[in-house]
Amino acid sequence: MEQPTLDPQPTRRSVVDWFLATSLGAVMVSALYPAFRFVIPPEVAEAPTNTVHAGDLAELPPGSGKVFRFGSKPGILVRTATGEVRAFSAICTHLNCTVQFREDMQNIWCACHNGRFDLNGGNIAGPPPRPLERYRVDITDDEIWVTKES
Amino acid sequence: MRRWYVILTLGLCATIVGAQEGGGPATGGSCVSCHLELDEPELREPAELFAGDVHNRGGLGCVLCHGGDAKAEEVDEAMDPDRGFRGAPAAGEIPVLCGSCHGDAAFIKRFDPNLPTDQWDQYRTSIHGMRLAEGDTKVATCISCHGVHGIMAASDPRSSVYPTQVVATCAGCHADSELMGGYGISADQVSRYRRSVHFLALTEGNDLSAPTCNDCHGSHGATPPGVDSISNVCGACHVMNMELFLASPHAEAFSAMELAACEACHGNHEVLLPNDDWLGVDEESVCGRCHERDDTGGEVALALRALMDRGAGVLLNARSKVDDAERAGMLMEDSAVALEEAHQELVTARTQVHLVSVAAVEEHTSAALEAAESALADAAEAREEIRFRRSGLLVALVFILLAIVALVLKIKQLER
Amino acid sequence: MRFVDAITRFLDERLDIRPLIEFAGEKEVPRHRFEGAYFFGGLTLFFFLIQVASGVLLLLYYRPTAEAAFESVQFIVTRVPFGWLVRSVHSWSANLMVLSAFAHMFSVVFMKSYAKPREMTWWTGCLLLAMAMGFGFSGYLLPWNELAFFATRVGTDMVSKVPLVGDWLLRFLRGGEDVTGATLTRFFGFHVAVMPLVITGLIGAHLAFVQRQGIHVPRGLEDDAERRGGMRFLPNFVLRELVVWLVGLAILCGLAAFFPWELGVKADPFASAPAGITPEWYFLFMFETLKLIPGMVLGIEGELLGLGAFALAGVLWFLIPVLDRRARRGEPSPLFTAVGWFVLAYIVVMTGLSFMGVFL
Repeated sequence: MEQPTLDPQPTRRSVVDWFLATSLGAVMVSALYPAFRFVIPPEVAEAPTNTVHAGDLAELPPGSGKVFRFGSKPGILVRTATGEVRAFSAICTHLNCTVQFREDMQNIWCACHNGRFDLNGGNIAGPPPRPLERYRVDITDDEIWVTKES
Repeated sequence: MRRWYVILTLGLCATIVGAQEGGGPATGGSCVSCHLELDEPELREPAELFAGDVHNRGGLGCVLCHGGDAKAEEVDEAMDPDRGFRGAPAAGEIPVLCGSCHGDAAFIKRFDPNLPTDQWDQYRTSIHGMRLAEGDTKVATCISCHGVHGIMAASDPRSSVYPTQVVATCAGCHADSELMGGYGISADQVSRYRRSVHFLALTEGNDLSAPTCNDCHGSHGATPPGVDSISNVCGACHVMNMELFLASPHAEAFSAMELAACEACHGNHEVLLPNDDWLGVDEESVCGRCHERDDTGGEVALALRALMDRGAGVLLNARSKVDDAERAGMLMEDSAVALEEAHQELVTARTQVHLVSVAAVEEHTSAALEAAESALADAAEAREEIRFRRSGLLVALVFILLAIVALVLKIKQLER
Repeated sequence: MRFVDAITRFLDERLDIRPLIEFAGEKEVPRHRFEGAYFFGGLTLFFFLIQVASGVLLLLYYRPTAEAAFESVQFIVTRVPFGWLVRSVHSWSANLMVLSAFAHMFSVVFMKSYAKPREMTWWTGCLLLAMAMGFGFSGYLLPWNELAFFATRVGTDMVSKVPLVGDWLLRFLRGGEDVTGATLTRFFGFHVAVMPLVITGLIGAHLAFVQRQGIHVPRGLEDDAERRGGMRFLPNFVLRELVVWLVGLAILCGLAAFFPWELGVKADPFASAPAGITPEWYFLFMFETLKLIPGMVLGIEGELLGLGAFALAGVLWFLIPVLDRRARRGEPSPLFTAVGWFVLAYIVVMTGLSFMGVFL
């Protein structure tokens, strides 16, 4: 095995060695840095397409409703007069407009063709042919979590 | 004379119903068994069809309408006028005959508690009913639409009055130009309707809520909606548009000019998908039919067109840029939400057009622009990020290059 | 270097590694006109190591089910820091590995290094190439996008044409009759467990043979090599190899950043196949050939004939060390050189034609 011998020009040799070590080190770092960042999981551990934090109980008094975001699609939360929280897809089953909660009607209403859904998501008036897709609601502390059952 | 028929028929109805227990194929009795054996199609087919008839299933047989004796084996006895046989009822007698059961709520309740019983009353108010009363036997009666021997419930998809079949049923007379010519009406309504968005929605979109002939004209009380009532008819589904129209200057103006509301711009049978080109004052536009470039209405039309064009254009551009970014692998969820919002705002803007108010439409096109521009900004950011990554790579490449140089130097040094 | 000495001493005191180091120190690599060819084997190994590293990283987030695969790749590429880089590196390095393997193989063919006593090195090498392509084929499906799905369907359809065992082979590969989530899971198992195990063994054998037998000098270049003398493996060849590796790394990073791998569109088994499905480029020459063969030839289905021809060609290629008796004896063997050129030209031309859309 080669032993490092005392060279007549120690500085020249160590400069090259230093340069080699540093540049190889830099290459290693630029390879390892992304790898380290990669293995630390991101803030959102899973793509938010199945479960989202839709809102808080405090912002949803009984007899009210709220549209929330489920991934890139709209969902709607309703709270019945008795305090129960329900969640549905806010995509109208007629022609895909976004529905809204109407406090005056205490129903879910679609502005496009006057379609109406009851608080079970059932299509009760107007053109919609099917009920709204229903989601699962879990409440922890004050937070309302909505899950899409696939 | 009429009353005699009614009483006799009622009596027969009661007898037969009392004699049977819910009916079945045997309700036709000897009528059906004989007629099935006949060669002449026009005599045999009714018997064949009757098996699927809803009256048959209710235990109500041939004698209900034709009289006679279903238990008699000999034709002379079965079709004996003294036993009540009276052959095929005349056209004018049909609504009375059908109405004698279907107008009797107490009777009908035994078969279907929720079946309406106002058909005959309605029919009498209809154009068909009124003309029939004057002696015109060419008009539609119950059997023209419902069929006669193989009548099926309206909810049965095979029925001639099921929503998707209605237009073909009405076309039987209303597409016949010779027949319609005699009344001085055109025969193009059906062909026009078949080009409409409503027909498409019904047949290809499987949307049974889409209107067909009877939804606007009524079924038993069929009449063309009057000029005053059109916006109510359309407005039953298109609520927002109706409310906005009624609040607009067009409402009073149209009424003064005796122009039918929705129909004036959208047509009645051939209702097509409107597009932004309708706005404006040129030849292809709808506003241009009445308005000139320099009148107030014309200016509004041009302003509205400009707003819609801008909104739609920006949205289209945004959509394509977002798609590109997404396909390249960038996260474009926020953009997708913004694009959907922009789209919904444009839909609302188009509804607001009915108010013919630039301010109202602009409120929504501005919101649409904002959303579309936010999506565009996201897409631009994504492109920037992609570019940034390349520059990050350049740094790594520099390091690699340096390392290569260092290695080459080292090799040279070792081999000197 | 003192640090290296310390480590060496530590290990040597415990494991007696000095003989190994001496062996490595004595190992020499011949120098001659075509010495550049000797770098390709190591380069292929380099790309393989990149694959292992990037593959392990991807494994931390990837989900091998039809419902979640595409979304998990999307997650990696959009939300995981540098996920886009790891994924692109993995996809590009696969291609570079196969390219490098082909270069390595052809240099061996032209230098006739397959001749006795190096037949087993050739055989393990052939198997390694097949494995590399197998890795490519199984990995291609994993993102579960439209192109991958249909390319896999077309590709696996081929095996059903094998007589007698065709159907069984199809079901074995696909995990069923059709390409489904079962296929995905199975391909994943092959890709991350079965094949890595096998290839590790093969690489180990391949390298062991090379180390044991030393590097072959082509006939006719012996004088040149004699004159120049050999190059020490450690550190001279290794440093040069490192340069080559860094160049490869630079190319890889460039490709990953300037031509990032697309996410595509999620696979829909019920949709009709989009136009222009092609397998990965290293299968294109076969793909193109099959397109050229007429539907029926002498009563035999064209595709079957084509596949049979390739199978036969593959077997003959595998058996080159045995068939090329002249090389075995150390004599000139122009026939096999010509065959090598023909095969190379065929592959290049057919691949090129496929890219240009001829005969599509």
